[in-house]
Amino acid sequence: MNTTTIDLSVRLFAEARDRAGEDVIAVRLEPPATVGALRRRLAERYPQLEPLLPYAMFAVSHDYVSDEHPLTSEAEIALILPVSGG
Amino acid sequence: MTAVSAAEQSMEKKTTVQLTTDPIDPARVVTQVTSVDAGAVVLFLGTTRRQTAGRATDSLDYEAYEPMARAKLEELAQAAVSRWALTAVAVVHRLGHLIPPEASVAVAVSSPHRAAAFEAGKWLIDELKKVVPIWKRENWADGTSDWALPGINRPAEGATS
Repeated sequence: MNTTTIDLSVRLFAEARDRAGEDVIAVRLEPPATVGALRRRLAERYPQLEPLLPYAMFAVSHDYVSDEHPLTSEAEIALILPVSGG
Repeated sequence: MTAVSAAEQSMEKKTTVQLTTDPIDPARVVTQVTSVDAGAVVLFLGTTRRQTAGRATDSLDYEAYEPMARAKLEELAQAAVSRWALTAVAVVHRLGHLIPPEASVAVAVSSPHRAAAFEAGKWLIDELKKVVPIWKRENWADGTSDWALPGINRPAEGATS
């Protein structure tokens, strides 16, 4: 659309990876690229993930971030469904 | 000068975190926190159950977002060291395929006096279960399997602690 779109890659694990069928997915966002915008885009593009997304957290560079957090194409982004270790 | 270097070195060695596909050796985890400075060692072992909510489990698979899981474990261990008077903390989480009753997690804490070790150990396992990006898939005896997602297909964390 324009040169300012932001290409992101998002890592998926466990249930999210199994549903999407991929462990890394590419997503292009118009600015402003935020976690909230990514959450909405994933819900549109991946109907199989959509019911889980309200429960998902996102991590950037190994830290949990809020929906307001800005995203860049260099960021290591991960979708984190409720964890069940221990 | 020598004394200061020794103290710094022991500070650096205070916490150990590990993800492993090998069986957890509880004696080794205890050894990692045992010290002449400690009067107490508390070990928590999380072991895999055969029965969950009336269903039989044949085996489990654990998967982690490894770099973040290590970072979060280290963050929790450091937070425990700041909050309680601890001598050492060691946390090991197993990954891969487990057969009940193999241990999935070990948390060992040492401290000069026992209260701090008990409190910190409980806090560490409770926090680990909330924030460390590790997931468990239960392979049921009836041939089906699913990833445990607390609050979605399992009771919310805390409900079954």
